[in-house]
Amino acid sequence: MDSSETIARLLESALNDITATPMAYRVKSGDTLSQIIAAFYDTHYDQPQYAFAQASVLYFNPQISDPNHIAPGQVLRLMPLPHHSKLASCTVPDDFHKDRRVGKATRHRLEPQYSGAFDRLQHSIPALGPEEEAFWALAWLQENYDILSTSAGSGINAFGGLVGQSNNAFIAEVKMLYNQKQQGILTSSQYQRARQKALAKYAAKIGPFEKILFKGKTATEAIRISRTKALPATAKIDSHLGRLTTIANNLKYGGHILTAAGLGMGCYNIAQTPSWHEKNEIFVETLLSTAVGVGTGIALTVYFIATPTGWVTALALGIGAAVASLAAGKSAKYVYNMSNERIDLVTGSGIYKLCQ
Amino acid sequence: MPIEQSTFDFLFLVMIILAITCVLWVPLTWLLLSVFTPKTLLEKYFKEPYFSLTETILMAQFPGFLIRTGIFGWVILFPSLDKKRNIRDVIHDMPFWYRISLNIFIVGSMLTLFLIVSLLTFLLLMAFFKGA
Repeated sequence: MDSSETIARLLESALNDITATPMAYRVKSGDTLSQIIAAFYDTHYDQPQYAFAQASVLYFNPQISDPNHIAPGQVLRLMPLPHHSKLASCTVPDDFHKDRRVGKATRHRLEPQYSGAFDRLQHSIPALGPEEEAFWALAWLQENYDILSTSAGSGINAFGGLVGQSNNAFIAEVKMLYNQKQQGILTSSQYQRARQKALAKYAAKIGPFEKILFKGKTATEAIRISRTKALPATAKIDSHLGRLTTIANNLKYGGHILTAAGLGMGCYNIAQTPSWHEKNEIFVETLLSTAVGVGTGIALTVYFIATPTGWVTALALGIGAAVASLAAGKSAKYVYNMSNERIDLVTGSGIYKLCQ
Repeated sequence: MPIEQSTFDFLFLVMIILAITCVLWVPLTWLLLSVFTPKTLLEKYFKEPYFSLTETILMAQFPGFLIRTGIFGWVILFPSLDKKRNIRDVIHDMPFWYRISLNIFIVGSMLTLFLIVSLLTFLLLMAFFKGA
């Protein structure tokens, strides 16, 4: 049996481990095979494991004719690697990519077992275009901001509530009052009083965010009836109302997406990370940061009994809770790595099945 | 390490079980208590002067209403903390089931948090000793 065949059999044998997860990755512009291998197999060009990772990618992706040339949009099958001890006595031949023995028989044996899984994986990768860009942007956000994206999501949601349609109704009321004045239903003084009342209510509701939303002006200053004949009298009101509604919608959806990204990507990472040790690390980190984050959140509400809280204090408390939960997650990961038994919590708790 | 490795592993497992329990029941209970806050309570206390106008907007729906539930929960446990809001009489306007549930929720969640943080701190210290 030559070394190419030995390597091929070892790579196939790794697939018999039913707990290992194959992955699908769509090549992006600027990607190289070595970058992808470094990201997914955590091994670099100068390490012995790299040759096996590259051999695996080439073996299971016959569409790659040259490892130095991969095309954006290609979907790569990234399979789990055999155990280190099995690879220790093997050497990957230099011409492995030219002399792969992926016979029809092997492919037929593998396809029924994995084609369903790959179909699902490929469907979970968005089509090329803006949707795909948004997908990777969220993945980047989760990678870099971790659980903070959940806190940020809640914050943005709250701010979206401030700029919500029910609040903007006060501005719409000014327009309605103006129209009533034009029709003679209201006198000038009645209109002025009602207008001031509506705008004062609006200002009270949005608090210190008034000037932020109206670019340094108060609502009363910003919502003026246009005196120029080039514009309709209510043009300024319409313009501000349109802008505020857009902000409210963006904040609302942005907040939901961020919150979902924070929670969902933790699960996604557990399902997609190839290493079982890393899966457990992610699980322990997410679990403890969530538990401490929720507990700290409840504990901090005690502060709100005393007095209506200012925006700065609320912000400081929120950041404090986020930092505490982040620190708890990182500490738990450290403690897990010091544990001797390294219990497989991901399988034991059933979270792996859930996230898959 | 000042403690046996097996003890360390056991305490770690206890902490994980506690955290899983906490994540399973606390957010769900918090959400349910917020969604099912009695209307009579809200009509009487969830307005000015007890809550500012801005607070009534922020705490009317998710996620702000969770803070409102927390406030009601803490105030029935420690009425003396309420210096300015003047909602300490809220306990008399709560149905029995809601009062008991809030008590269990606040005491239970704080006890779980205390145990998790204590165990984590202890294990972290032990791990530092082990690493040193």
